[in-house]
Amino acid sequence: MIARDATLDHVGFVVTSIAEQREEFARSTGAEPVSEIIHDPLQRVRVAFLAHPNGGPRFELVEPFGERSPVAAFAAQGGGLHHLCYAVDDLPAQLAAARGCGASVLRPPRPAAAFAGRRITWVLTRQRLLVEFLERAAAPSAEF
Amino acid sequence: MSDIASRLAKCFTLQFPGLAPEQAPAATTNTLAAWDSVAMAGLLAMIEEEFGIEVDFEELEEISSFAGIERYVEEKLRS
Repeated sequence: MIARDATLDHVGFVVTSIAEQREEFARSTGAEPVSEIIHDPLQRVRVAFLAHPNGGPRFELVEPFGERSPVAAFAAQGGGLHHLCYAVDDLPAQLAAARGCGASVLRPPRPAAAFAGRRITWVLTRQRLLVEFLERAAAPSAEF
Repeated sequence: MSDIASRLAKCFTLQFPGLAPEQAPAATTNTLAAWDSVAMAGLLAMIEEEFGIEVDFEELEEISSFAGIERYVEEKLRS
Protein backbone atom coordinates (compact mmCIF):
# COMPACT_ATOMS: atom_id res chain seq x y z
CA MET A 1 0.00 0.00 0.00
CA ILE A 2 2.85 2.39 0.82
CA ALA A 3 4.93 3.25 -2.27
CA ARG A 4 8.37 1.70 -2.65
CA ASP A 5 9.94 5.14 -2.83
CA ALA A 6 8.30 6.21 0.44
CA THR A 7 10.49 7.20 3.35
CA LEU A 8 9.38 7.61 6.92
CA ASP A 9 9.54 11.36 7.45
CA HIS A 10 8.25 11.68 10.98
CA VAL A 11 6.22 10.22 13.81
CA GLY A 12 3.37 12.40 15.06
CA PHE A 13 2.84 12.74 18.79
CA VAL A 14 -0.02 14.81 20.19
CA VAL A 15 0.52 17.02 23.23
CA THR A 16 -1.62 19.59 24.97
CA SER A 17 1.11 22.26 24.88
CA ILE A 18 4.29 22.22 22.83
CA ALA A 19 5.73 25.08 24.83
CA GLU A 20 5.26 23.21 28.08
CA GLN A 21 6.11 19.68 26.93
CA ARG A 22 8.78 19.97 24.24
CA GLU A 23 11.73 20.17 26.60
CA GLU A 24 10.72 17.09 28.58
CA PHE A 25 9.93 15.20 25.35
CA ALA A 26 13.40 16.05 24.04
CA ARG A 27 15.01 14.84 27.27
CA SER A 28 13.13 11.55 27.24
CA THR A 29 13.80 10.75 23.57
CA GLY A 30 17.26 12.22 23.09
CA ALA A 31 15.96 14.26 20.16
CA GLU A 32 16.62 17.97 19.76
CA PRO A 33 14.26 20.72 18.66
CA VAL A 34 14.90 21.57 15.01
CA SER A 35 12.08 23.99 14.29
CA GLU A 36 10.09 26.81 15.73
CA ILE A 37 6.48 26.23 16.70
CA ILE A 38 4.55 26.46 13.43
CA HIS A 39 0.88 27.42 13.29
CA ASP A 40 -1.10 25.70 10.55
CA PRO A 41 -4.56 27.31 10.33
CA LEU A 42 -5.75 24.87 7.65
CA GLN A 43 -5.05 21.84 9.84
CA ARG A 44 -6.03 23.75 12.99
CA VAL A 45 -2.89 22.70 14.84
CA ARG A 46 0.48 23.97 15.97
CA VAL A 47 3.45 21.70 15.34
CA ALA A 48 7.15 21.56 16.12
CA PHE A 49 9.82 19.11 15.00
CA LEU A 50 12.58 17.33 16.88
CA ALA A 51 15.32 15.14 15.44
CA HIS A 52 18.08 12.86 16.62
CA PRO A 53 21.59 14.14 15.93
CA ASN A 54 22.34 10.83 14.19
CA GLY A 55 19.41 11.19 11.78
CA GLY A 56 16.37 9.01 11.25
CA PRO A 57 12.73 10.04 11.20
CA ARG A 58 11.83 13.19 13.08
CA PHE A 59 9.26 13.59 15.81
CA GLU A 60 6.41 15.99 15.17
CA LEU A 61 4.77 17.37 18.27
CA VAL A 62 1.19 18.33 17.47
CA GLU A 63 -0.86 20.69 19.61
CA PRO A 64 -4.53 21.45 18.96
CA PHE A 65 -5.40 24.98 17.91
CA GLY A 66 -8.92 25.70 19.09
CA GLU A 67 -11.76 23.47 20.22
CA ARG A 68 -12.54 22.41 16.65
CA SER A 69 -9.03 21.13 16.05
CA PRO A 70 -9.04 17.51 14.81
CA VAL A 71 -6.69 16.56 17.65
CA ALA A 72 -8.49 18.48 20.44
CA ALA A 73 -10.28 15.44 21.88
CA PHE A 74 -7.19 13.26 21.47
CA ALA A 75 -5.12 15.81 23.38
CA ALA A 76 -7.81 16.15 26.04
CA GLN A 77 -7.42 12.44 26.73
CA GLY A 78 -3.72 12.91 27.35
CA GLY A 79 -2.40 12.81 23.78
CA GLY A 80 0.34 10.40 22.73
CA LEU A 81 1.44 8.52 19.63
CA HIS A 82 -0.85 9.60 16.80
CA HIS A 83 0.39 8.94 13.25
CA LEU A 84 3.21 8.02 10.89
CA CYS A 85 4.12 10.30 8.01
CA TYR A 86 5.70 9.02 4.79
CA ALA A 87 7.21 11.27 2.14
CA VAL A 88 6.34 10.15 -1.39
CA ASP A 89 7.05 11.41 -4.90
CA ASP A 90 3.57 10.95 -6.34
CA LEU A 91 0.77 11.82 -3.94
CA PRO A 92 -2.17 10.99 -6.27
CA ALA A 93 -0.65 7.61 -7.13
CA GLN A 94 -0.10 6.90 -3.43
CA LEU A 95 -3.72 7.76 -2.65
CA ALA A 96 -4.95 5.48 -5.43
CA ALA A 97 -2.79 2.65 -4.10
CA ALA A 98 -4.10 3.22 -0.58
CA ARG A 99 -7.71 3.15 -1.79
CA GLY A 100 -6.94 -0.02 -3.71
CA CYS A 101 -5.92 -1.67 -0.45
CA GLY A 102 -9.15 -0.68 1.24
CA ALA A 103 -7.80 2.31 3.15
CA SER A 104 -10.09 5.25 3.85
CA VAL A 105 -8.95 8.65 2.64
CA LEU A 106 -9.72 11.08 5.42
CA ARG A 107 -8.53 14.33 3.90
CA PRO A 108 -7.72 15.29 0.31
CA PRO A 109 -4.26 16.70 -0.46
CA ARG A 110 -3.80 20.21 0.92
CA PRO A 111 -0.78 22.47 1.39
CA ALA A 112 0.67 22.43 4.89
CA ALA A 113 2.41 25.29 6.64
CA ALA A 114 4.77 22.91 8.42
CA PHE A 115 6.19 21.76 5.07
CA ALA A 116 6.53 25.06 3.24
CA GLY A 117 3.34 24.53 1.29
CA ARG A 118 4.00 20.97 0.19
CA ARG A 119 0.77 19.00 0.21
CA ILE A 120 -0.24 16.40 2.76
CA THR A 121 -3.08 13.93 2.84
CA TRP A 122 -4.44 11.58 5.51
CA VAL A 123 -5.36 7.92 5.25
CA LEU A 124 -6.61 5.29 7.70
CA THR A 125 -5.52 1.78 6.78
CA ARG A 126 -7.75 -1.23 7.34
CA GLN A 127 -5.51 -2.05 10.31
CA ARG A 128 -6.51 1.32 11.83
CA LEU A 129 -3.10 2.87 11.29
CA LEU A 130 -3.34 6.62 10.75
CA VAL A 131 -0.91 7.61 7.99
CA GLU A 132 -0.05 11.04 6.66
CA PHE A 133 1.51 11.25 3.20
CA LEU A 134 3.69 14.21 2.34
CA GLU A 135 4.77 15.04 -1.18
CA ARG A 136 8.51 15.40 -1.52
CA ALA A 137 8.38 18.38 -3.85
CA ALA A 138 5.71 21.04 -4.07
CA ALA A 139 3.23 20.50 -6.90
CA PRO A 140 3.58 23.19 -9.60
CA SER A 141 0.01 24.30 -9.08
CA ALA A 142 0.13 24.24 -5.28
CA GLU A 143 -1.03 27.56 -3.91
CA PHE A 144 -0.08 28.63 -0.45
CA MET B 1 -34.43 0.72 17.14
CA SER B 2 -34.47 0.91 13.32
CA ASP B 3 -32.32 -1.38 11.22
CA ILE B 4 -29.93 1.48 10.42
CA ALA B 5 -29.68 2.46 14.08
CA SER B 6 -29.05 -1.10 15.11
CA ARG B 7 -26.28 -1.58 12.51
CA LEU B 8 -24.80 1.79 13.43
CA ALA B 9 -24.87 0.82 17.11
CA LYS B 10 -22.82 -2.23 16.19
CA CYS B 11 -20.21 0.05 14.58
CA PHE B 12 -20.14 2.20 17.70
CA THR B 13 -19.71 -0.72 20.07
CA LEU B 14 -16.86 -2.09 17.94
CA GLN B 15 -15.14 1.29 17.93
CA PHE B 16 -15.85 1.99 21.61
CA PRO B 17 -15.62 -1.38 23.38
CA GLY B 18 -16.90 0.00 26.69
CA LEU B 19 -20.15 1.14 25.12
CA ALA B 20 -23.20 -1.13 25.39
CA PRO B 21 -25.43 -1.33 22.27
CA GLU B 22 -28.36 0.22 24.13
CA GLN B 23 -26.18 3.18 25.16
CA ALA B 24 -25.00 3.92 21.63
CA PRO B 25 -28.01 5.97 20.43
CA ALA B 26 -27.41 8.52 23.19
CA ALA B 27 -23.71 8.90 22.40
CA THR B 28 -22.33 12.34 21.60
CA THR B 29 -18.83 13.76 21.44
CA ASN B 30 -19.55 15.39 24.81
CA THR B 31 -20.65 12.21 26.57
CA LEU B 32 -18.11 9.83 25.04
CA ALA B 33 -14.60 10.93 25.98
CA ALA B 34 -12.94 8.46 23.61
CA TRP B 35 -14.73 9.99 20.60
CA ASP B 36 -11.81 11.86 19.03
CA SER B 37 -10.65 12.28 15.43
CA VAL B 38 -8.88 8.92 15.39
CA ALA B 39 -12.00 7.21 16.72
CA MET B 40 -14.06 9.06 14.11
CA ALA B 41 -11.73 7.77 11.40
CA GLY B 42 -12.28 4.26 12.70
CA LEU B 43 -16.04 4.80 12.70
CA LEU B 44 -15.88 6.01 9.11
CA ALA B 45 -14.14 2.81 8.01
CA MET B 46 -16.71 0.66 9.81
CA ILE B 47 -19.69 2.64 8.48
CA GLU B 48 -18.36 2.39 4.91
CA GLU B 49 -17.97 -1.36 5.30
CA GLU B 50 -21.27 -1.95 7.11
CA PHE B 51 -23.47 0.13 4.81
CA GLY B 52 -21.48 -0.05 1.56
CA ILE B 53 -21.43 3.72 1.20
CA GLU B 54 -18.63 6.22 0.66
CA VAL B 55 -18.36 8.62 3.56
CA ASP B 56 -16.73 12.04 3.43
CA PHE B 57 -14.64 12.28 6.59
CA GLU B 58 -14.82 16.06 6.71
CA GLU B 59 -18.62 15.94 6.60
CA LEU B 60 -18.69 13.20 9.21
CA GLU B 61 -16.42 15.01 11.66
CA GLU B 62 -18.83 17.96 11.70
CA ILE B 63 -21.40 15.64 13.29
CA SER B 64 -21.25 15.24 17.02
CA SER B 65 -23.89 12.63 17.87
CA PHE B 66 -25.07 9.12 17.07
CA ALA B 67 -28.40 10.56 15.94
CA GLY B 68 -26.65 12.94 13.54
CA ILE B 69 -24.62 10.12 12.02
CA GLU B 70 -27.77 8.02 11.71
CA ARG B 71 -29.41 10.83 9.70
CA TYR B 72 -26.26 11.18 7.60
CA VAL B 73 -26.24 7.46 6.79
CA GLU B 74 -29.97 7.53 5.97
CA GLU B 75 -29.40 10.38 3.52
CA LYS B 76 -26.43 8.62 1.92
CA LEU B 77 -28.46 5.45 1.47
CA ARG B 78 -31.32 7.42 -0.12
CA SER B 79 -29.06 9.26 -2.60
